[in-house]
Amino acid sequence: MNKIDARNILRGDFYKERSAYIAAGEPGIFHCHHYNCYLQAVLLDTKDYLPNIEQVLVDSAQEVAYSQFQAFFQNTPDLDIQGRKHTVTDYFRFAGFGQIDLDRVDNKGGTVTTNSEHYGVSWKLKFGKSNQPISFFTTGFLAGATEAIYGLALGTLNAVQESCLAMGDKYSQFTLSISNSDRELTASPQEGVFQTGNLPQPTNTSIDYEAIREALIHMPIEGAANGLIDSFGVLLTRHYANYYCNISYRFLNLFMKSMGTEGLNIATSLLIEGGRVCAFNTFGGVMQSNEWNALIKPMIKTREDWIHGIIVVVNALGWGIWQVEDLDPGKRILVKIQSGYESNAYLKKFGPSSLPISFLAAGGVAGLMNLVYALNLPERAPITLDEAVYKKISLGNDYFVPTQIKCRAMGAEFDLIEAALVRNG
Amino acid sequence: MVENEFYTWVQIRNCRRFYKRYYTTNFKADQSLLGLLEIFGLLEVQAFSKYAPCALDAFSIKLESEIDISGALGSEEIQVTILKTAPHILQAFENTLIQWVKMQQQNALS
Amino acid sequence: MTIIHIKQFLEKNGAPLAWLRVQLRLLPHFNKRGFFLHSMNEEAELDDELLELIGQVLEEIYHLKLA
Repeated sequence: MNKIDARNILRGDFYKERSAYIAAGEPGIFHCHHYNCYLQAVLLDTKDYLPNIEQVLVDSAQEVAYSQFQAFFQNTPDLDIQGRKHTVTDYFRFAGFGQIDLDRVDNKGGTVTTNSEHYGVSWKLKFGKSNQPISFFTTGFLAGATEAIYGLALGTLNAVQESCLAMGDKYSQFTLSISNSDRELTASPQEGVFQTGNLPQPTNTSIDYEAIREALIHMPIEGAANGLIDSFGVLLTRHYANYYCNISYRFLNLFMKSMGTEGLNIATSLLIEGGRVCAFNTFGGVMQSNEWNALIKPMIKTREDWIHGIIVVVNALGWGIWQVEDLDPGKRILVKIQSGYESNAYLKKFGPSSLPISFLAAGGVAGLMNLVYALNLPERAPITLDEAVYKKISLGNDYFVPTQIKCRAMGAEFDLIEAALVRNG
Repeated sequence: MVENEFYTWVQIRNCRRFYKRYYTTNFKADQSLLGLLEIFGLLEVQAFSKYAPCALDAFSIKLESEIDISGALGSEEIQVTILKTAPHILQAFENTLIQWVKMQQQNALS
Repeated sequence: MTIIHIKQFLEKNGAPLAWLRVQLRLLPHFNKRGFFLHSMNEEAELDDELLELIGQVLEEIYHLKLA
């Protein structure tokens, strides 16, 4: 048996001055399968009139994977091809994307087969069987990573998915080949235009921000042998911030080019809804977890401490430096975000924006308030968090709606999200 | 909520064919409980107390996707995540928990 | 059947923002018929073809049959 060579292993570092996890130049952020699938589903809703949207999903993954592994391999010149393949398959597992084997892949392409892959497993769980392959991220990842392994230029390879776990197939299979199309792929913006700051310690809470973030960033959250991260009741991924940003913002650009501003409100509302879906499932799962019980609950004295508890958890997820700027219990919250991953990426890749673009943050903040006040999870936990409960919150009398008051991508110093109570009916 | 003389439990489910039960006893989890639960799988401990004095050390005992028992040393709550199709493992856990609670009850009397 | 009927149906049976998903999916079809989202007349009757398209979307996304 070969000794495990630590040089093969790609892991990142957590940068406390920006609450960011960076691995070979790529920001890694935790997101759950609910968000991953919902966001993709919304984008795919437009495929009849934005025919390139599926390619956007694949290309975005190819760019990010290529950039990351190219950077890593440049710094590890002694790694041979086998070593590089091990780096890629290990990182894929570590990040919760699944289990892959690159033995049948070479510099001209090949095939990859897996029976454990995040998107294939998750999509079927969340939506039921799909009638088409849906693992666009993995398709692109494989192409980009293989290009980096063999020192090929970005865009040399093409990948397609032939079968899919989400369709009920026994395996997801991907075929890589030399590309004969002229795609415009660009390197990832990597860390983007980031900011540095300090983790706040608000004086109106007993939640110890520093202690909690420190504990969480040292927790070993990584894929099991099957390559999936089963935590907090969801399937997590330590995903690429730039993947989310590329697909969301490219989608918006394509949408506006095709449809003008007609319907832009709908598109952005649904991107924000992705944030709510994420908050409901991930924050809700965290609040009912053993880790919350052990680490955060002993500090909780008020309902508002639940809000602070999640805000500090977010700081450990790599999403940037979040802080509660103002909280009117049960009515309104203002969350200030420095070095938010959405603005970081947008500014580097696209430059200034004419509209607010922190969709995940907006939905996340509103979703958090809905959990704590509309659902009253602090007093009702533990409860099943399912579609029925989600719907009940949305249609309930009290519901929190977000507004992005300041956006770094629009020139502000930081992102500022407000979530305010709206009485339905 | 279900109650008996040894514990109460509340059950929720997640979206992935798992049930999760929250058991509460009248006794705080300690090393003797870990000693009994270790047979269910691989034990891991997160020493959260080294980060904050009031935090508890969290433990988890996992057997692949069969069962996941977690709790905190010093907490009366134990969380058990189990596949819907494995009621026999849950029964075994409950028997173990009852055994431990009985020991604590006897210790409390003596 | 009008848009109001569909929205009421979805409010009762569908997921949150289901109507937005339908609109996003079928945007060109709405536009073709003069239904522009910023000025949509929700009392306008929808034609059979559009209703069928809406039904297909609801079936696919939410496993719902429009009634």
